[in-house]
Amino acid sequence: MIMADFPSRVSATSRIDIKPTNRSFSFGEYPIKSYRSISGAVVKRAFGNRAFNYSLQLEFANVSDAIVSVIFDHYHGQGGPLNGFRIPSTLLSGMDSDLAGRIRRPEGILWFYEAAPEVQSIPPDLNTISFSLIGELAYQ
Amino acid sequence: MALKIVQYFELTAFTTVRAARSLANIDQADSIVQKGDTGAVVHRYQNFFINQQIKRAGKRFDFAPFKMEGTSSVLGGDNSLVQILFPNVEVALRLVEQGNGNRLSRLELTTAWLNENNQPSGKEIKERFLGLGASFSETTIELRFRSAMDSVSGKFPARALSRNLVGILPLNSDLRLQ
Repeated sequence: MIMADFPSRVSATSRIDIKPTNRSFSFGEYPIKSYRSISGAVVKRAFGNRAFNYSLQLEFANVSDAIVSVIFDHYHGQGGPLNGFRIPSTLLSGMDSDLAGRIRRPEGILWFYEAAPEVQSIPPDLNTISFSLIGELAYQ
Repeated sequence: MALKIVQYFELTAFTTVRAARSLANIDQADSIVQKGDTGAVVHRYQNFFINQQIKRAGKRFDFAPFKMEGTSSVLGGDNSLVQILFPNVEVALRLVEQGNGNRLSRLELTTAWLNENNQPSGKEIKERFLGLGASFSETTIELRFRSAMDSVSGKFPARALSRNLVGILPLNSDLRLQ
């Protein structure tokens, strides 16, 4: 599996962090199925001991072409939604470090692109790029 | 009410026909899994504890995302048929190929109930099956099994049939006593 972490900067020598301007996330879900009888009584069965399907929606407004290029390369380097990766703290900048740690590294979770990032491009050199990441339990 | 159930999969795959010859004259009243057979490879997996290895009764069970489908019993005494679905990954391919297309394999499947702390509750069911074959798709591998002998349950008194009592036992439900 190819695993290149999501880039935190435009380049190794750059001082420009790649930070979202808007984000939302969900806590993941558990592998549970429910049976509800006609009486209304419910029985729930768990099929695993860990949560999956975390989500993180990110938007980067008014960013340069260089940042779009870096995300473009990362998306294709991961084979689109094929390969999982870790995310850097810059994607959660401004957040309490305890909470950021929980979101960055849920147990056994790797992040995947849900779909191709979408870009609104306004010349010259202004873009808004948005995409969703899914936190999945990768079978190792 | 909440249920937590783990299934332990222990497959003995016979790598050669010679090693599997005991399929024809095995004493099915005992155990269909014969430990120590030459040319046999044992695979052990569990499907609840994600990416963890579980030690149980001195055996180690790695995680594999499989699921079981099919019947567990029928009144008519036919052999029960079950399918076990694996993702089409290298581990599952090895299971199939080492058992000659899952035709020379035997499965011991244990279903165990867990308590709220994911510890064994003590309740479990152990079933034994014989390999029938396998089929493939782009994403899954289906291993097919049937019960070793079930026809005795419907029409016979509660006695054990063993090779000592009735000779070589058949492997399907076409049992005729004359």
